[in-house]
Amino acid sequence: MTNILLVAQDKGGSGKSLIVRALAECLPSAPLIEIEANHRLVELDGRLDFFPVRADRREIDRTGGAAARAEFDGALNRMAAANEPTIVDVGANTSSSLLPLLATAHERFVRRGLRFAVLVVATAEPGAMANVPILLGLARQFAAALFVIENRVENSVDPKLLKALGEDVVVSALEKLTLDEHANALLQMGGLRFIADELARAEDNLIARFGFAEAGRIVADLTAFRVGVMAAAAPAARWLEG
Amino acid sequence: MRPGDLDSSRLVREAHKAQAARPTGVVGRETTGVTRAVRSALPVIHNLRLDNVTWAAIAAAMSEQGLSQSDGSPLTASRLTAIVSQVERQLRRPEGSAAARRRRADVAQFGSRVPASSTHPSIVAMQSPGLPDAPTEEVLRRAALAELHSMLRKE
Repeated sequence: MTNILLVAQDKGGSGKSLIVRALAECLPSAPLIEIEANHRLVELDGRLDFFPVRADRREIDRTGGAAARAEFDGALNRMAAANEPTIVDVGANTSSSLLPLLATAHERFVRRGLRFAVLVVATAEPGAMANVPILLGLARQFAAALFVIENRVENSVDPKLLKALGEDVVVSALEKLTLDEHANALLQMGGLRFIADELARAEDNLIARFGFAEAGRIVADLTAFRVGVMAAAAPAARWLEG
Repeated sequence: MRPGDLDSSRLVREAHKAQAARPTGVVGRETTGVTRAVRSALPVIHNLRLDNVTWAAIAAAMSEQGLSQSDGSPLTASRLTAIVSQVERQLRRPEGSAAARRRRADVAQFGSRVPASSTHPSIVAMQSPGLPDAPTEEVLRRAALAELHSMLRKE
């Protein structure tokens, strides 16, 4: 079977893209599918297929809804063609529409040798946390494994809420990590990929720009941050790898 | 005409002429292409700031798309923040007036019900396409990434 991992959370700002980036670090050869209103994971171009969601309103009006029904066709076709472990970033406000389609087509995906898991990002923000059991409920109709990552960067989630998600859910945590201000700015500019690829080699440039002491903090903070996020994503990455 | 007197007819005529020369709209005079682009891309800029993308990176990304200051120099972080603040003030102004009106018991409250809409906000946004010179989120992210690579690789 070929494994496909969907990363979901309908509330924006949950850290979902960061988790997708960490999965991409855990499996550096895995292709990615990004289903979003805007292409965000630009540093992963070359191994990523982007499918914009939200069909053009004029096209929906013109086709009497056919365009809306076909909104996910490109992404579904790409998933159906997967022949290696694949990471799918499902954009905000999209999972509740996409997961039922996957459930409906589940048997057809199975016949093509494909198996799905769903990872939902949980935060203490009430809207995001309320969305977690909803998405898990949709995922249970077709997913072979369920994962939740508790993002504690802002606040911890009430443990009772996490326990209530069910014993079939593998829960891991992204711990709160303090980042140097400039390290955070670099992270936002480049995601996680440059940390392994370029950061250590760029120390002289960082020293010239930020000074010896801060350059050291930037490298140390970003390196630790990348490792921390990858650790949170590790259970799902292990499943994906098979 | 004595000093200090105004020619009323001429004032009316020239005021109308000046008004006719100004673009219409709720936010007043369009100053530069940058202001127009900022107004159009404001939600994208807010999202990038939420993601901690620096003002300098956003300004650089906008400059890459050909936007510049009135003297032709590249858009700077401080100029961009000034324009963003100005546009935000302009956008708040009509809402402030409406709120003041809503607080008055002696004024009829027309249009107080917001019509229900089943249209997703992102689709509504797509119905109001941005101006051609407004940078997309993807373009701004690519520019930030390019700036990072340039910073890390600089000799």
